[in-house]
Amino acid sequence: MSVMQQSFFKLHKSLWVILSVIIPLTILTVISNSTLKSFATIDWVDCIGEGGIAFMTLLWLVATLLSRPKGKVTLLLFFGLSALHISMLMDFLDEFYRFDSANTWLSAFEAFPAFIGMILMSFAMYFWYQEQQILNFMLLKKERFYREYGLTDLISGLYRAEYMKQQIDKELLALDHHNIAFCIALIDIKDFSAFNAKYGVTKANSLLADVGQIILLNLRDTDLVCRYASDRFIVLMPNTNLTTAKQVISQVADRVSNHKPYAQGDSISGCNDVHWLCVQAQKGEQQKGILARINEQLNTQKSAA
Amino acid sequence: MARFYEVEDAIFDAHTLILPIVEMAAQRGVASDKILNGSKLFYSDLYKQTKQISFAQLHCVISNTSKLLSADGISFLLAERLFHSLHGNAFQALMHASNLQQMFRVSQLLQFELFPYMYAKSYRGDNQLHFVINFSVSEPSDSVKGFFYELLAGLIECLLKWHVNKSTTRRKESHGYHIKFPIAQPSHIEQFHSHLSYQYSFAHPMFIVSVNRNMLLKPHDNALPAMTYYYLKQARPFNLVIGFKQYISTLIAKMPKATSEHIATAMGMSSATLKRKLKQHNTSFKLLKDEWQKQQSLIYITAQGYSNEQVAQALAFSDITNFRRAFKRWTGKTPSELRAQIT
Repeated sequence: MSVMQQSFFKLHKSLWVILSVIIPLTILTVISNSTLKSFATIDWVDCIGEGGIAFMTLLWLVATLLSRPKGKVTLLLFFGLSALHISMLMDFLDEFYRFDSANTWLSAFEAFPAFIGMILMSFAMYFWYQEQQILNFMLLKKERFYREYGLTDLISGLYRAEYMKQQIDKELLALDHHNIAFCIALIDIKDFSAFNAKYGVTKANSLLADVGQIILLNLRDTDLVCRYASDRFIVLMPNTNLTTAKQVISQVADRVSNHKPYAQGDSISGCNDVHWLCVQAQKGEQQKGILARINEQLNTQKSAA
Repeated sequence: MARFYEVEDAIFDAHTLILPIVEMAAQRGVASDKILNGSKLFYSDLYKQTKQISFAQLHCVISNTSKLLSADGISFLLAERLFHSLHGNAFQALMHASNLQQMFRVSQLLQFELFPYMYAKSYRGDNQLHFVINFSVSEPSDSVKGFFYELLAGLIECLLKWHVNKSTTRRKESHGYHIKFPIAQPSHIEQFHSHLSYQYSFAHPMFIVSVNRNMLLKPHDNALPAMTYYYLKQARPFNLVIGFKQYISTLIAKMPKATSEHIATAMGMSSATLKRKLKQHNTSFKLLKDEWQKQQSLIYITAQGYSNEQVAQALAFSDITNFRRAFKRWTGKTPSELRAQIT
């Protein structure tokens, strides 16, 4: 995680510089155009409230820069939040400083950046919505209905078995109540441990990521793929009969076995044939039972080959 | 040299288990300081060839790992890594054993070099040989136990795969094994599904590997039996030291009627010292005696067809009622209930 944060720190270098200029500039402008209030007249409760708001807007600003890639949405968010922060900062500072009578424009100006900032952020939200639509489309076969980033497998970029178990539970409910058939498939890379031993963990991990992506690419929009465990992937095909499911998965298996990873510039072949197996869920079956059944069948099939 | 090693003795190489764990955790986004937290180890320590660690430190690292990466199957991956990276004389002796029976003998002689964290005792049943496996140094916490069970199961899988070239025979062979885990079916069952090809089941009263007896003398593919003697000599099993817990359990098995005072005397220490040491190893004399009696009686009843009288006598119980009560306490069932369950 720290690697990621570092790279985002570098990525937005110019924005960080701008931020580190405008904050002192705001403070300086206020200080140079006003006189310090006497200690007794300061309303401390107000200070905590307004200071808190200023601090939180700054926190959002930093979080935005740490989490987002470069682009239009990020720029709009940055300037919108910065303007908001300037207003809040001035609001906070005027608890301590009284603006000189010659500079009444300053107190009139106080709320203006926040207004501009909110307009900018409204645009940002609109573009962010569009961006999210596209991202959702890209994630279509990776997730269904809800997002649970904690269940992501960092090696393949897919969701883990736990996510699939939850989805299977949902489909089993639909099967029991509405008689909607669904199929589950396992895809297992042949001799993965040999590959692992021969080419090392890094290459093996990138093979897992590649295979995950290839499976993803060759599924239908309604299907879901997760990493099951080790070199095993699991596919959920809702509202699908066994014949169709087998066609889909055999196509996927074909594509995976055509994939050629590279090691030191040379392509490695014959390392990603797969074992695969499709089953249709039976009515009244439990998630644990169906997973045990399909895995046992696959193991039998593997050792018979 | 001490006859046993204790939980705080720094005697294990740091790079065999901990280094791969730390690396695998890093690939999964967990920083090394989180994995090493509380173990008094630093990342740089792991690269020192001479760095030795204690079982307590290993326990701490594994406990962190199973908390932070519970569903990732690190234990099974570690087994594969360990299997591919072992190359010492002890391991060569094991790999070249001509059959399973010889392999088990080698593993007992070279326990310290091969897998010093656990030990096995074998029991002959009607059709099967049962290996009852316990922890050697101290009694670990539940999450660490689970990790070690998975690690050992993974290693057995690797050995099985290596020894049987043809997949058709491998299939037959894998039916000859059955691992019984003393834990409830874990939520990351998918790791078991994907990594293990032999039979296994959960919620047993002890950790047992059962093997069909007709497989014991079956010659292994890939083995050069003459090499076993060579490597065995090279490895020189002078290191017949065992873990503290294993040491006491062995004494208890040798002297079923002994009290903790007897054991203390036999070990040349005061019974207060023994008590303190047992506590430090997360166990007690009573727990160890219970463990031995429970496992022994289960084997007698399930595998060897003893009657209650025979078991009570063999385990030095004063009468059968006492035995039946104790058995119910250990397993939640009476002996006759268990017999009915098997048949």
